[in-house]
Amino acid sequence: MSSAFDPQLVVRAQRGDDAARERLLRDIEPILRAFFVRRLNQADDVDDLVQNTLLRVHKGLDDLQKPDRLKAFSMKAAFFEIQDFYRGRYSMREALFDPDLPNPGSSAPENVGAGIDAERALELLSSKARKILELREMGYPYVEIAEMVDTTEAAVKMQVKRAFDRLRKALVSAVLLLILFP
Amino acid sequence: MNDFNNLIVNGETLSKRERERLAASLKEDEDLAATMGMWQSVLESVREKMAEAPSSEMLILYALSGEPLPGKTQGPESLLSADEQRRLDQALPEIRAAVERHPSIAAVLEKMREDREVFEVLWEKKPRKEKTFSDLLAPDRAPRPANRKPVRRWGYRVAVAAAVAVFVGIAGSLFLRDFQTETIHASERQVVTLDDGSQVELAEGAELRRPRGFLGRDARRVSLLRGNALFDIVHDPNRPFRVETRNAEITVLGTTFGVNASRASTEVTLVSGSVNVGLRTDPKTAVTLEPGERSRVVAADAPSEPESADVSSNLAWTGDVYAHDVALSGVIRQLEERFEVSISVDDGLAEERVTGVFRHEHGVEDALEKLALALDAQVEGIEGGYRLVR
Repeated sequence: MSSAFDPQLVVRAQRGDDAARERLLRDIEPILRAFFVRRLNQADDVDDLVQNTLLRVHKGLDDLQKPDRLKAFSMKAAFFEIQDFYRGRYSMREALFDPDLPNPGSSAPENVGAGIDAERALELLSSKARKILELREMGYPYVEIAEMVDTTEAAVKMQVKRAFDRLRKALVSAVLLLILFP
Repeated sequence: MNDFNNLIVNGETLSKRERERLAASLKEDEDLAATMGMWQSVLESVREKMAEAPSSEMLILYALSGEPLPGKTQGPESLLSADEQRRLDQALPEIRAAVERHPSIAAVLEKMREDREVFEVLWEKKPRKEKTFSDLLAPDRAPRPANRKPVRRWGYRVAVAAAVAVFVGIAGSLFLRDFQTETIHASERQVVTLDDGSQVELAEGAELRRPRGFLGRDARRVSLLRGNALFDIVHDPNRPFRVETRNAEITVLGTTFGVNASRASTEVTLVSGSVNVGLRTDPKTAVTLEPGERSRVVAADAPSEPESADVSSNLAWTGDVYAHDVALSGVIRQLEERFEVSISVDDGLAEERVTGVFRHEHGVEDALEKLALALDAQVEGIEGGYRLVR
């Protein structure tokens, strides 16, 4: 009896054997499900991630030149789905700003009242804060960012808050400078 | 300012109450509004820079390749095809330059390598049947990669502050259920692990009733008969988690909370996330708590309106320090008490607002390191204790 990962099963599936293809996908599914549940530590969206990954595997199976590379092929498909997930394809991403709130104003110099531009403002942030903001921008939630920088979620959030406070202080300083030295 | 912090830090969808308060704040404070505008620009600048970073595909190929991670000398076996390796080789200079510019990319590559290890272990284990969520969190789950640092990941914790209630006789039939249950009487502080991986920390004297084995297919339920308990709940939207006391029901919406139950009263204090608290006999009375709020259910009265709570005091029984947007000086005082050590801080730090949970079991140095990280400060050892300096 052939196993799910028998290269011959892959070859049969590639040659049009629907039963083989179905068997292949059915046996890969629990691996994907287990991976996504552990990876995300939650049950939300797992069904969609699993189905979309299986769809990638199904669509790309015919192009798999070496049947014994099924593991790498499936892994790549799963990783792509994770990246899509972080980029907001699956659900409303944790946004860093709520678009429905009143517009607090643009960053045009006349609105911020001082000559600090975004580039300079970015330089004011610590490297830790920049790292966290970059990871947020890539779509990683705070709980994962905390693991990636080896600290707690609360500490990560405090870093973001402090980055904002630092910016605010710099802006006030710039305004004072402008007033004192017009 | 809590709503504002929520917006800046959490970016979560705000409740109607939060929106209204925040909109009012921005209207009244031009400086704040101007800073928000600059903040937006900074985030857009970060977004633009990250758009120039190597594509997801290249990062994934790197993770599947045999290239060593930044800072390391050896990599794993390559899983790439010849064509994929060629494409990666062409992109390597760009990837290395990007890692130099953006340390976050090194963190992403490290994370992907960890994912690879997990996937490979699962592939070899070849689960043969579709597992339930509970099965997947059972003790035989795939081990964490060997070089991964252990960082505790909090699920949903509910903290309920103990409330001393006026004794009122309550009919004892509230907890009759037709499932097999067991009652745990905590003679000292203990942690109980449920079948879904959730954990309940019971204070001395607490009593918890839980089903034997499987918590439930559609909803997960436990009963806190009396005492203090801290719930660390694994999120599963298909099976909401409910804690019942003699008179109240707490529905976990995604959260960290503690519950204290006496014969006639239940008090719930929310650390983070969201819970609904209502009468068991009338779920329509439920109120929704926001972080740092508490509500009390006395006898058969509807829950009290949410009000600000002293989270740390209410959870002092855990031995841990819970801080929710409080001055550092207060947190330091509590750490000094818990760990019987002297801690001083620079004047400029004392009034900094902090939020976090500092577990007693992790020690005072761990707590101070986390505070230092959040405040861009450093921990110095001094005679008899520590000092936080910037």
